[in-house]
Amino acid sequence: MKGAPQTRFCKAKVATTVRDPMDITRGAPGVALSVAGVTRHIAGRDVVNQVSFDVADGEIVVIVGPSGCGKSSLLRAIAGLDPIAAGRVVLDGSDVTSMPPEKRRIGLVFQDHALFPHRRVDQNIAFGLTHLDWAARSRRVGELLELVRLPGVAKRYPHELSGGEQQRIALARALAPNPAVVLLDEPFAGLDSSLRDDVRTDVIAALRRRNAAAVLITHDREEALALGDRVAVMSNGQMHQIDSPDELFERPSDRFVATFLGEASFLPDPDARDVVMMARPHDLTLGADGGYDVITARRYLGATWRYRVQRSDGSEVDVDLAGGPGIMPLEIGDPCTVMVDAGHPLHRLPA
Amino acid sequence: MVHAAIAVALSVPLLVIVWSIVQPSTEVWQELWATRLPGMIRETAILLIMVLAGTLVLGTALAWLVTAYQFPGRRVLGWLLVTPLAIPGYVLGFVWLDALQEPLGARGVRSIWLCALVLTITLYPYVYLFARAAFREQSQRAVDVARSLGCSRAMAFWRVVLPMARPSLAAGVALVGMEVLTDIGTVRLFNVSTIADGVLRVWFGTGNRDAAAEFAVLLIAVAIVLIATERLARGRARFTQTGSRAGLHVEWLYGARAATASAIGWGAFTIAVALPVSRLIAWALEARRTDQTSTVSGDLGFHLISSLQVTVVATLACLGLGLILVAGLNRRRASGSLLARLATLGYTVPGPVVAIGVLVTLAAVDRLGWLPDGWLLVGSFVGLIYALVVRFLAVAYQGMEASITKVSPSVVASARTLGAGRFRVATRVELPLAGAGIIAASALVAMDMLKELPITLILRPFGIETLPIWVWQATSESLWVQAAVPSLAIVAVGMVLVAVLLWALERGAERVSREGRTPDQVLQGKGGHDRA
Amino acid sequence: MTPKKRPLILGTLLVGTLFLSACGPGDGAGSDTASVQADSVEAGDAGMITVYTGRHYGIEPVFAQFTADTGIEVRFTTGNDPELRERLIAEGANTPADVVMTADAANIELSADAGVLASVNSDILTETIPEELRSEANDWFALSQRARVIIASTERVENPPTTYADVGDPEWQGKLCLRPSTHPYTQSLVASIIVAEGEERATEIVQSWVDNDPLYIDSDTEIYKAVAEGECDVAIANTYYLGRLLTENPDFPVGIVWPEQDGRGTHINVSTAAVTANAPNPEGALALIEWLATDGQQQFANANFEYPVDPNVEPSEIVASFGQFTADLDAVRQLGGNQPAAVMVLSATGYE
Repeated sequence: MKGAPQTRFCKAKVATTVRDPMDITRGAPGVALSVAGVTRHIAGRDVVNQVSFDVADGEIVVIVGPSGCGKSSLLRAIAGLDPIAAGRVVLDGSDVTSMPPEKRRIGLVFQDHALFPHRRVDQNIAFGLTHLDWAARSRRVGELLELVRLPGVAKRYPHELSGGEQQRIALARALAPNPAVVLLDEPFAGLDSSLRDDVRTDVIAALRRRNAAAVLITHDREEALALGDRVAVMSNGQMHQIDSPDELFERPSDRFVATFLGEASFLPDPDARDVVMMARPHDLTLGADGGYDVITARRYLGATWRYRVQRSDGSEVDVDLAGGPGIMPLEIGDPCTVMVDAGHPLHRLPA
Repeated sequence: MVHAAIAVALSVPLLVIVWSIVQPSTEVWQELWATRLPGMIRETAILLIMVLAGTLVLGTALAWLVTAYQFPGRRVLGWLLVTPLAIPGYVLGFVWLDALQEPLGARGVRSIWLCALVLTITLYPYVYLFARAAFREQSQRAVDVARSLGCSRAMAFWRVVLPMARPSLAAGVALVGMEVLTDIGTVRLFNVSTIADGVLRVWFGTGNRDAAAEFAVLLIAVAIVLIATERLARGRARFTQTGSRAGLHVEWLYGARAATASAIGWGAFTIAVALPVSRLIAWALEARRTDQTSTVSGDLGFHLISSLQVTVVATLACLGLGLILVAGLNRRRASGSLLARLATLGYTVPGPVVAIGVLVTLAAVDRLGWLPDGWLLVGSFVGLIYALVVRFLAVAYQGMEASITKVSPSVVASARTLGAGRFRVATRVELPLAGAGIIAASALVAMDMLKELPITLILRPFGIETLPIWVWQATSESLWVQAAVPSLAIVAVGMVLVAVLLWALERGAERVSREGRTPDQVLQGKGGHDRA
Repeated sequence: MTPKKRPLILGTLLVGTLFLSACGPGDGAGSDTASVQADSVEAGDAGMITVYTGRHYGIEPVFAQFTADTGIEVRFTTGNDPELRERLIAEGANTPADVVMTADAANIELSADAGVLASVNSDILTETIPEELRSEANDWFALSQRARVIIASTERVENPPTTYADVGDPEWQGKLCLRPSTHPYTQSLVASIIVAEGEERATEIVQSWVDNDPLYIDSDTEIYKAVAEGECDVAIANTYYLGRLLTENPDFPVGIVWPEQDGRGTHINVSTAAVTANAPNPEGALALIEWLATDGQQQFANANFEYPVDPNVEPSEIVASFGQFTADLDAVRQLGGNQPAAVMVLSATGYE
């Protein structure tokens, strides 16, 4: 960092322009984050295995997967908090793979906000702004408070705010030094479900307003589908698929992705033995005039009734039928026939 | 109302002392002000600042070393660094005095700097324990965020970890401050004249006990001011993060860095404990060899038993009374807390002053003649225990209060709704959960009882001759060699107590980490924000 | 430990504590009754006396010998003289103490002033102990003399000072070791100077000492060692420490100079004993003091290389080797009265 201004506290985060002439993964313009072949070992196991993806400027990518799938580890690897065994991380065109976190231009927001409890809100936000003078710092703090729609809380302490407010301040703090990408680790998991929606909206809105690139990890599939410009599904350290939410939901690349994102039933493909057809519950319907399939369970979901049906060949499928006043639900044990009612060809997956 | 009775009973000796302020002895004060008082105030200030700074730096640095890094021998070192607590200041003092006499000369060795060094070494474990507890309970996430915002590891330590540990560090430092303010044995060895020493000087020199008592009140005032300042400075800030998973990331060290870390830790231990203890052992062997025990009565078994009797009973008394006081705490009313503060004020007063207050109080009770024939409180075992409790209850109480009140109220409430009465709740719910913390507090107070000298000297009954008394008999005649055997005995028992303390902390950490909190926080309330 | 056992254990602990406290340790004389004050039954018994003594060095064998000679048991507690006095005063009529012994005169005087001593009529004591070494009211008695002299290195000092005033001679600038003003020895020394020469002159003398930038060491033994090792050349200390040191090392290179031999005589302090005003066993108390003045005189003095008070009793060999000297006996009874003045002089001159 030659020539960088020596500040009293942390080194100023001036954009590093170390350009390696051999760097063939230098990102295309407009790519905030590029992750290539990142692998991380812990105790002999690959918790992150050859993961690659890009995040464009202003794009929000959500990584979703069950607990232990490696998404947190991946995030930490991107942040530089943990070392990686292989691969590269390129931020805003610079290869930061060997750099410590303080030299990377990233923002971090954790599930428990991790605000510094001994400092006021404005001091929290200004934490990463030591390279600015006092006036510029106050201005920036003010801007960020506006951004997260909390203009009046500057002089309060974190414990004096509500959970949602704390999370928004955490975001403001992360955004303050203009990071290339903001990394959010299950940011809404710690909130009351009644608040969650509102906070989600506020946080995403703030990110959009700033046109910030972000990687958000969550285990909640609904959240993933709702928030991401693109969504990536991970399990066991591997990224199965990264695509827009509707692509992911309607055209998953494998069974895991299919079942993770929603209820899915798999019907054998009459034409090929190693292919199955995916049917979402709303793609199927039931003929209730008897048949060889039997209803084994049912669940009322408000708008729909979801029936679990055991087919004559032994497999089980889920079928949604519309609910509502005047509709008589079917009973457990009722015979019926499962029929496809999709309005589009069913998506095919390897078996 | 039992609580009120206890608080009153424990504070009477101090009130006796404070009462003298009503009629101040102005000429004594004038004379002192013209001569020694400014010097005493200056020396007390210098000593206090140096020792507070020294213990803060040493204790925090060592705590960080064993918490944030992993290197060979770290665990053992983590325990060993607590052991200086087992060595009394007045023992370490004369060992160093003698050892450094050669290189520094008699004039050089009697300096306030050396005195500060000796006190720093004996007292840093308080800060160390508190700092270690604080670091353990911090979340790595705050550090991660700080790094994402541009801080290197080192900067993150200074800007985030250390400030968040502030209340714990303050509590540890407050404890150290009390010990320094009330120390008499160590400062005298080095010709340092502090306010506490001034108390005795006035008393013995002028024979004016009231003036001496007024001096003692000055001491109490200083203590209160210091603590209040820290509380105020803290303001509205909080220092713990809610709900985060505790645990700082441990960095594994290899090669040269690991060796350096080890060297620092073991070096500290060697200087603080290994060297002095080996010197004592050498002296003890010499005493054995030349059989010098005839002039100073030395029956190790007898003195050991005396010490154990006093330590065990006094500790249990503190335990019992402390529990009762804590049980009297009511979250809504301040009276319980105020009474507790009153009961624990003795910690801010030097030993001899407490002893005199107790002496006067008990003698007055004796004169009332309420006790059956021939029974006297002065010179009785109970009287001695009473005085020790007045002096040291604060140590036990703060620890217990911190750990018991942190038991979740919902847990207690559920127990009550299941039909458990107050006693059952206390014994079956609160005690087990807070148990490890209580044991830790007991171990700490036991160490104070074990090492105590001035009160025992004045109030002990016939048949009680503790190990520190033996040390005093030898050191008052400068017979260091003869002081070695009892000193070693004190250190040995002290080590056992340290082991108990560490066991309780570790055990509690295991058990309670399931419940999300560590009883290391036991020590958090000690001596700090809840005092005075 | 199952949960059921816990209250039981706690209860046991509590009861155990009470039990232990109530029957505090006995005095080792075999009595184990649950009495708070050990053996108050026996205090007052003709066979036992209780002693509070600030002079604790080597005292146990002396008491043992007394018991062997007379059959009277002695139980004693040691401590600092002022603290023992406070205890005596606080205890008042309830005190178990029969005898109080101090290591210096001022402290016993203060006790006499506080009214906790008893006058005794004892021909033995009046005949054995010179008048100057017992109080006028016969309520305290010196049992040994402790001379505070000038000491000097035998190797380096040719012409040591011969008076206390000479110690303040600029020749000894930076080469002087003195005991701090907190100690009664220093206070009494200054008091004796006040008695002999008045407060003004005393202030001058002490000031001259202070101007010599002395090294203050709160231990006579360490002072001797400092002189031997060259940290200082000249000092003021008690003779008996030299006795102890010579026993260990006959070639110890420090010598005694008897000050004021041309004038009032060397300042001496005394170890004293007195019968307490509320002694449960005054006869036994008197027996002890009389014994210490007669049969036990030699042992008492010799145990600590001090000088006997009975002029007819010979000091120990080593002590005798220090030479003959004239002692300032007249001042002894006035040391207590002049102590406050001495303390003022010390602090006024900046003596540490």
